[in-house]
Amino acid sequence: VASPPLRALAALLPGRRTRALERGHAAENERLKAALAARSQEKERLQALLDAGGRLAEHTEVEEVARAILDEVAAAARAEFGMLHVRRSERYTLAATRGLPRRTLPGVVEEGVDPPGVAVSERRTVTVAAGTSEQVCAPLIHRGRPLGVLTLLRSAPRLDAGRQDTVDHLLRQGAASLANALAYEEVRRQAVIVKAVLDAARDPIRMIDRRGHVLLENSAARDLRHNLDFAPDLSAGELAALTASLVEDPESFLSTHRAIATDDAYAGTDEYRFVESGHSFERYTAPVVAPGGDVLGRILVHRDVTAERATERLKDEFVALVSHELRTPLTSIIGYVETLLDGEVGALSEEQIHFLRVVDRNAGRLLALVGDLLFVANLDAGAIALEPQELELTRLVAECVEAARPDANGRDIALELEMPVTLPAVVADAARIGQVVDNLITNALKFTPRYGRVTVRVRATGPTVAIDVEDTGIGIAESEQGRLFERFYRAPGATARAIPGSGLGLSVARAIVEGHGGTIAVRSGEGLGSTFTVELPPSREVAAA
Amino acid sequence: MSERSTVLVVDDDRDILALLEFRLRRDGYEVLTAHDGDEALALARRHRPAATVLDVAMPGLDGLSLARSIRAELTETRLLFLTARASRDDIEAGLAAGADDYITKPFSPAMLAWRLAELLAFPSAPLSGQNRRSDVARTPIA
Repeated sequence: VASPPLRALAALLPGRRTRALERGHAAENERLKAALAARSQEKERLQALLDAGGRLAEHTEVEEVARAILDEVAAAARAEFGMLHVRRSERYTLAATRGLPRRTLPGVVEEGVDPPGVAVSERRTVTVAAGTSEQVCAPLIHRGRPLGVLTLLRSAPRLDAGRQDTVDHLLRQGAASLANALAYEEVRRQAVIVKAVLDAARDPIRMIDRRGHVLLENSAARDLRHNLDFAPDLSAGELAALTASLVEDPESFLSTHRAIATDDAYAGTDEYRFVESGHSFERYTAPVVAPGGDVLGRILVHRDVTAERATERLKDEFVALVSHELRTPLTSIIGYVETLLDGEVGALSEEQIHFLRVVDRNAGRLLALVGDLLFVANLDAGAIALEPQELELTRLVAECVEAARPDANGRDIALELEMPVTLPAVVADAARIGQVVDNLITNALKFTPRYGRVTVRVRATGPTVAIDVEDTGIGIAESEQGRLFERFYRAPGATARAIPGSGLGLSVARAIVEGHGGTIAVRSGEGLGSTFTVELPPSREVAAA
Repeated sequence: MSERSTVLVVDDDRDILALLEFRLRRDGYEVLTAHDGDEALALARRHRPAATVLDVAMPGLDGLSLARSIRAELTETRLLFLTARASRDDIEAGLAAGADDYITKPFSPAMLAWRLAELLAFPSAPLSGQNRRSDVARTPIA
């Protein structure tokens, strides 16, 4: 585009042009060199970062990760000395040191105290000049949570932007690695806790997955397996089959396993006994369900109940023995008193008769108590056999009411009987059901004040029959109603009013009614009177039982 | 009773034995007492009592064995158990051993005397099975 004269001029000045060009080349070269150098520095920096990241990720232990972070960051920041505190159970404790003996450094950093504490609480790097050097405290933050604080002591000049970048990057990566290591540590810690708790239990505990593989067992379960000479890698099914061959009732033992196999949600308790050792175990099983509702497997707990069963047997034997031994003297007392009262030994004064009747009544009470005790002992020993037969329930209940009438009259309590014209056939053990009705009426009279009313009602409720014993007595607080049928339980109201009783009557009544396949229940409220209702199932079912 | 019937009473409890002896003597019986089965069997062989009132649990020869031995030797005698053993199985075992009646302790002396008189009054017609059943039903506690 240049004009001819200019072109000519240019031809005259070749050297100048060449020099200018050469100067341009040199500058360009310098720029290129610098760029290349920068590129290679960047490449090195990136490579170094990559390597450092790799080294940080190599470790899983918190102390090792802390050591690696400290080393990598200190190298990048050209720091000679440093320390790193890691947050554990709400405290920052010394986890790694560099160039300084551990004992000269603070073991714990408190949030907000001293530069490291400030770095954590304010979540920023804090730099403090210390003579010719500086102390740099940088928090390690992962997902917004401070996990530790790194402190460096360095005398090198300020870092350039690139190095600062590297340091920041390493801090972020270090925080991520630390978070992983802390999570691992927490998992291991939980595992140790779970194992310690499981091993502290003396009952064998096993958790199996849905396919029956053993996921976890405690030391008691291992010991039991050793004692039985079972291999360590057996599945739950194989363990069950082997165990079944050693117990008294293999069929019942295996039925629980079948229940588990068909029902993921099965939970229950059963009991088995080893033939050879005679040891009894109670087995409890329940599914283990994840928060989302997935069944993860199930837990099986085997509790050695050998000693308990032996104690129960001893107790039953003891109660049976004592009851028999108590009956013998009672037999004499009752027999002699009756003979005296019959006038067999001579005429008695009014007062003598009165006193002997007191002896007789109390001997009778004692005898009833012994009877209840013996009944309960036999019940526990499974020695109570019901003798059901077709019976006229209305007549039986009427007899019970008439038997209680003198007592009711003596206390000025109206005792009333309501019965239907017809009633479905009832098959039951007459003596036992009579015992229950007697018991309920006696209770009702005991807890009903003078001029009150006790109503005994027999009614048909569809195929079943019900007997109500309703009173206008002191009533029972709702909180006590659940325990009322427990053995030896006495309502506080009964004790406070000094109303006599052993606390056995209702537990005996319940055992009898349930033995018939029936139910016994109470409806009451404090000061509202009580209604006890016995419901007996259709006669067919009792006959079958 | 035209003549005094002899009744053998066997119980290892002396107080009960004394009570039975007192009551039955008053009712006009000739009463023999024994504290155990062996002594009772010897007395039964020697005196051939019209009736024996016996306990089940006794030292030495127990009541069931005693009943069987007496029943084998004295077919006409009446056997009446008086015992604290009150389960249906116990009662059936007693009747199977040859007893004519079974009364459970604690007992009413008057009732015992009445049942004994009944047994002796109708020696050829022992109590029917139904009456025995009613005794079982009266038993308050197994």
